[in-house]
Amino acid sequence: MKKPIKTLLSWCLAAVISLLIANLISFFYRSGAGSIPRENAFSTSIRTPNSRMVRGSEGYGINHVDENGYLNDDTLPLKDNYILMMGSSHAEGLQVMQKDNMVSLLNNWIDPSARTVYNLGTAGYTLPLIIQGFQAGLQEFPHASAVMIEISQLDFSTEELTEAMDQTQYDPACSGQTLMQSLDSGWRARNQILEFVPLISLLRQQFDSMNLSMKDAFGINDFIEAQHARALSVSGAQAATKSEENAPLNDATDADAYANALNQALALMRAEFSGPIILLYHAGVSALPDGTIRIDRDMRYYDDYLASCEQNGIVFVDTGDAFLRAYEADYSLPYGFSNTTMPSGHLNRIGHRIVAEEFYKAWLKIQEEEKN
Amino acid sequence: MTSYVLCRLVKTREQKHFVLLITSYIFYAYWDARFLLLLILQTYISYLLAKQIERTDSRQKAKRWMLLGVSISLAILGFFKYFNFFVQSFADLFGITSLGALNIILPVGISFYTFQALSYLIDVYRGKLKACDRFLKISLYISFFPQLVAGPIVRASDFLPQLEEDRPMNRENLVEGLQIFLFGLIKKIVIADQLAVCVDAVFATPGSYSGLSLALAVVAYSIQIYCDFSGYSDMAIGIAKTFGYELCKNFDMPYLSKNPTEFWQRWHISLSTWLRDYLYIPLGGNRKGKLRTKINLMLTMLLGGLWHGANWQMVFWGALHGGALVAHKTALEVSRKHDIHVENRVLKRIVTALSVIGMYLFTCVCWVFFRAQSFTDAITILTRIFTGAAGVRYYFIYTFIFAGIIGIASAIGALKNKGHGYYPILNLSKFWPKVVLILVILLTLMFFYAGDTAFIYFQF
Repeated sequence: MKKPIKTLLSWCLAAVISLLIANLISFFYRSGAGSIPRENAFSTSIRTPNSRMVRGSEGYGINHVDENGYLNDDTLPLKDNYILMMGSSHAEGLQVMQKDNMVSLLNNWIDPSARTVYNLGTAGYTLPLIIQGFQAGLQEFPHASAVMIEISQLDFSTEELTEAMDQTQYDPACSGQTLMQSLDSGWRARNQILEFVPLISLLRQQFDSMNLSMKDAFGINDFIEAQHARALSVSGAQAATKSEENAPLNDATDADAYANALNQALALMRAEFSGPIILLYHAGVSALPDGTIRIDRDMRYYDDYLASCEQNGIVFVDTGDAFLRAYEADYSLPYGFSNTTMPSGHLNRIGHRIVAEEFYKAWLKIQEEEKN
Repeated sequence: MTSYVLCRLVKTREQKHFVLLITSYIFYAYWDARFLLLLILQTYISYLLAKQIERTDSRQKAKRWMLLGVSISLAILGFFKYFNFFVQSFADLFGITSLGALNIILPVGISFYTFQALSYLIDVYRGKLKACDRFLKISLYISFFPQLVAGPIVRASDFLPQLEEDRPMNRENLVEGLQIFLFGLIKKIVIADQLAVCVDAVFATPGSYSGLSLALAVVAYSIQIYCDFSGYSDMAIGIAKTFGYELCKNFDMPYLSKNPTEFWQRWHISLSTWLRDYLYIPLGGNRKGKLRTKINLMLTMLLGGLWHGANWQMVFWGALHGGALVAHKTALEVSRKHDIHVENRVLKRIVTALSVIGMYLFTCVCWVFFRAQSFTDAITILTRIFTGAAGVRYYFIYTFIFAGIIGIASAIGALKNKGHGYYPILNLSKFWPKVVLILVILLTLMFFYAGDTAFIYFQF
């Protein structure tokens, strides 16, 4: 065989072997990334049903995706009447092992022989999106006896809350099982490829995270920033005067509008579901130079949430004090991992435990009140 | 890549130099086009004055031209790098609230190319080399893009002769150069940048972390700064090699050093030899008695510390290393005087191992002052480490992984290359090295840190 062809074949074979090894490593670091978009249901996409997800870039978690496309360990049967857990990526819990996430812990404490809590946690699902899909979620899972909602932020625009009132209508054709069966060959092939070649999604994630901006080239960015700074220092004086004159009236109007929109949104949830609703807020945490921590509660809207929840019979839980107690006990932090930084990012094992404990305490209190 | 292709296509050596020079200027302008003029100005001053030195028949006049060149170069460096530092220090000393500070941006690489310009001028004055007859060559020497912004500090006497030869841009140099470049790239974007995540977080609020967490963060920093800086040097050496040029080795497994003297023969070799040849020796070196030798050592290290940054912490870091060098020298004198030495082979190995560990720990203590945001933070970190203070337990997993990798690589280097660094160049004519190379590239792409971090030594 000619030498160039032999060399080329040799390189191709070497590439194949290398890719196989790298792909194998990827199975243990980041795998199971396929998703299916949908429109008329609680969430606008679900994970590939009956699959497994491994994530190792932040924390380390191996999680099973059930037949509905949500992260639930379906080893044990789900009770006839269950609690729905709605929330964001924190509730989803990809960063911890499934047995350590808030839903698994709650299930273990409430009844270790069967599942009581069903996880609908979806990455990126903040409160407005949860509210928007609320009715659809209840229709998709009609035997919910209670709803727990996990949120980590309170600041949304009035428009977001208003838009959330436009409820998504559930279409049974959008359930996880139906979607899987009706998936076109293109999506099927895509998800299969991503499942068997997790290296692709890992490399895509790496390149998506890179900052390849040219704006810093040639010192252009410095000039732009310097000019902005100069412009701001001139207009700032003018704007400051204006804002001093207008502030009280504008701020009050905005605050009222926000409070009204929030109240209406929570009232809508209450109207759609008569069972217990627990809204749990876990604020961020900052480490301070003196060795203490600060709970970064968003106090701009905090009282509005307290008031609206009380008005609509929703239990509002704030984990801030629990976070502080855990830190004072043994410097435990609820966010951050040994492969990222602390206390930032998603809830870690300790964070999931604290959140689950707060949910559980609230749940027990509701049970006690119902008994009485 | 465009530059490489163009250099392969051009016919003459001068054309190749021209292509490389334009590439270097574009490369520098990428960071900040405003300071390209400063670089060209510095180059032109060196070019003119070197020619004056050579033309002058009087040694005294030549010395004056040389001193003029050195003064101008140091004045430029001093203004951009040290003006605010000296103003603030003056104000602090006399309790003046505010003398005002100028908004001076530090041009990238100024410390490096200034030292290169100085070495050129001084070497011409010393007769070690002839002044460049063409501006193109001196420009290329000072602004050669692989080493322009973070070293190694290349000597004119090493590089200019290479410009007089037809340096081969052949397949062997390309393959070897790219592998060295890849080696450096892995050190930077996989190891150093990943460790920066932990180091930045811990050093920002050291009072929060437990003593053990802080100790691990210091170890992480020792690996980070080594991989960041040596990684850049390797990339520079690799790229230069693809164009046929040899740049000096800048690191030689410094954490295998047994004592401070050896450390500075292995760490940032181009800077330590520059300081030796252009500062320590002119001050008298070791030719003026024991006490003067130690003073010269201390002065050199103080200025070496100041070179790293315009703040007292850097000076203190330099002082720590200076003190260590003085202590080592004194210990050597005492051991020679009293004929203290270890005969037993086993004991010798134990002493060597303990020396290496001890030197590494001392280096880490010094790094705390180098990296901490203030003296107070540095003291806090060391106090919390040595008292085993309680706090957040943060054991960054990559510290262990990369410490293990560096440890294994060092052990291989120690055995294979008698304790000296080496580049693991793969023989790509064989099959399995091809697999290793592609796998290494894939693993780099999979695990490189995708956030935003600059090279540590860019700030110098």
